[in-house]
Amino acid sequence: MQPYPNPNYFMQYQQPQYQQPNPYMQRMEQLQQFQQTLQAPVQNQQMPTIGKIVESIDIVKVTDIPMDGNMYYFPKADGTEIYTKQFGMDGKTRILTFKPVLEDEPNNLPLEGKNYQICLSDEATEAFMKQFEELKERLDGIEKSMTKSMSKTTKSTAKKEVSEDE
Amino acid sequence: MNNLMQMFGAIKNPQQFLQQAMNNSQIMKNPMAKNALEMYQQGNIEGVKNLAENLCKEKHTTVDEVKSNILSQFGM
Repeated sequence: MQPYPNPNYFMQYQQPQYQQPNPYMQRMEQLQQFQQTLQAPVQNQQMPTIGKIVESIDIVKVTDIPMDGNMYYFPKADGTEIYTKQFGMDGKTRILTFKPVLEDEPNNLPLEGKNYQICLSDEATEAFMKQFEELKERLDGIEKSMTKSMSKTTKSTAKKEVSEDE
Repeated sequence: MNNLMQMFGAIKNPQQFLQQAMNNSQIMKNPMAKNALEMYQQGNIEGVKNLAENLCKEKHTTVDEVKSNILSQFGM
């Protein structure tokens, strides 16, 4: 008895000739392609060219920058503004000012140190004014009662004096 | 020295110089240089002159000063 009656027994269980789609390999290839696309834009991106930190825009105006057409950034020392300077096609420089915008209220600019003010809502203001009015009325009442009592005591002392003299 | 030789070449054969400059990728990346070359190619000499004057203003000098500086280097 032959151990392997079928001479093609071994052949039958071999891998078929055609390539079966391997989902794992396909996924790896896709990931590699995706990584390559990610790398390309990163290489094209340029790091921003920082000029220097300045105290005011006047310093930006007198600072020379290279004529390479790149935009140069000049952050203000107090962090409230960023100036950029760039040569245009006509040979003139252009200075732009960037100011931060608050997330909650896009129309508001950051408060400047010296002009800082506390603002209350109308309701809060009205409540405070009411309290002030009440306090004022009470004080007026106290003042009136005090003046009345003062005048009474002066009258009574004057009467006493008159009766003693008699 | 190289720059002087290039300048002499430009004066001798401006068309060739222009062609070489247009093929230079470094020059063409600079929008100001590109604009200057295009204006020169189109014959807009007034535009090139204005550009030179603006540049001199930015560098706190004048065209005449720059010209005299260059000529002084040649002993003129």
